[in-house]
Amino acid sequence: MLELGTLARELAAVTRPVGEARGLPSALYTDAAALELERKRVFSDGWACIGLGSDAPAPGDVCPVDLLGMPLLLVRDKTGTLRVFENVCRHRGMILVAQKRNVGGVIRCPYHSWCYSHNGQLRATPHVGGPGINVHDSIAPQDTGLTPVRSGVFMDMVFVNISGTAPDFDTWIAPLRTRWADFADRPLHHAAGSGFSLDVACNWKLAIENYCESYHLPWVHPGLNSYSRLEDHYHIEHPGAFSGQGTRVYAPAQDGTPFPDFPDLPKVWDRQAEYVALYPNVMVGIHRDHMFAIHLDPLAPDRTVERVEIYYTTPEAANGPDMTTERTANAARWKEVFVEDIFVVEGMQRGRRAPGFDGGRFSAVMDSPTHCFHDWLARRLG
Amino acid sequence: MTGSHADLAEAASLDAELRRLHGSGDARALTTLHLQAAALMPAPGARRFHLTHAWVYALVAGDSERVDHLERELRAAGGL
Repeated sequence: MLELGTLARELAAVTRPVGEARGLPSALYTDAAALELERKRVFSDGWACIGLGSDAPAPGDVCPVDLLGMPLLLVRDKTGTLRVFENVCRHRGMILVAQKRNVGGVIRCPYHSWCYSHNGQLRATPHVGGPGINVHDSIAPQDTGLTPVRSGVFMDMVFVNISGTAPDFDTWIAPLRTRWADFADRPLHHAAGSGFSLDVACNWKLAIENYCESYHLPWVHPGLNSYSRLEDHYHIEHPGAFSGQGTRVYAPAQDGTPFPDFPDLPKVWDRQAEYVALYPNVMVGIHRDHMFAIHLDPLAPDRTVERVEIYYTTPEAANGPDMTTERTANAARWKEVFVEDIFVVEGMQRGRRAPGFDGGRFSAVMDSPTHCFHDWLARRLG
Repeated sequence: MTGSHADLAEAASLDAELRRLHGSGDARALTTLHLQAAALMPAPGARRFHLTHAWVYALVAGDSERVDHLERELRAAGGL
């Protein structure tokens, strides 16, 4: 049971320096009330990832998404701009779009056929003034459009701020945009057939925590360790925004035609690759020849869907027939790594039912990216 | 309805086709059928009803030419 007084004391211990801190209390991983608290203070009050621009690639494409029970709709408008609205009709609150598709010229409510333009404006209210009378003084189209949700896109990841109170998107994303300035504005090409999802029995935070530290790599990922040793990694920490790890020995697989690199990258990226958890719920990997994004959808305190999508540097690399084998192999390699992590995050989830577990102690040297995340979350909830 | 046997038969045929296409997502075909149904309706209310449905499906189809035409028709008929 989440008791707010106790939680405040426990969160104070989380924000101590890493060598003295405790991890987040177990109730934050097991209690439905904790997820409800996070729904407001983390996923509504801040920026959160809800999907990818490639979910709605063409004008008129729409994709319904659910953010902790909040029905939202991604819409690609006629100009190519991606917009996000609440996925409900302004008339009776009916869900407008039940599945990903192209809606054509307007978004039509399946209930009474009120229609909205791709930019959210109310376009038609059939029979609103009686049979065959399609206007009425009481319904002003300019005041009755779809409810817009603040949104922004970075490297094809779509973020929303439900409350409307977070800093503006450009300010929020600036630290990662700056760190990855070599990649941030490059065209990215989504590999349509390479995505996969993992339905994992753990709290969403455990996926973030596991992703952003390299400490576990030699024990959990022996395949990675064969070429990328623990000492080849470095921490990435930007308090309040993201944390993760980098490697200095990235080498693309040598089992076919190499994927093309991003053109004219600085030399440092020849061997360097970075893996960043952008708080709260997206994990990104960047390499000289491809990128992946893992969107976390927290379905319950102990259930998270990890959706993985991969991007390449050219349309041919992403979807061309000549590189099908290489794409399949690359997706399989990453899937093997992420599947290897499942027993760990599910084990930590079960561990949080131990009555005596106090949040745990960190390695002051190896766990600081995880502590960086805990510190951020504790301050958001505190 | 005019009441002629031919019109009644055509209306019944249109009705059957509209039911068949209901939920099909074929907005262009539904526009066409409602336009045909509107042409059969001598009563202004019944005509406006079908023009309204033709208009909605033309909007869904993104058929701007028909949308413009139907909005003119509906305005003239007092439906917009």
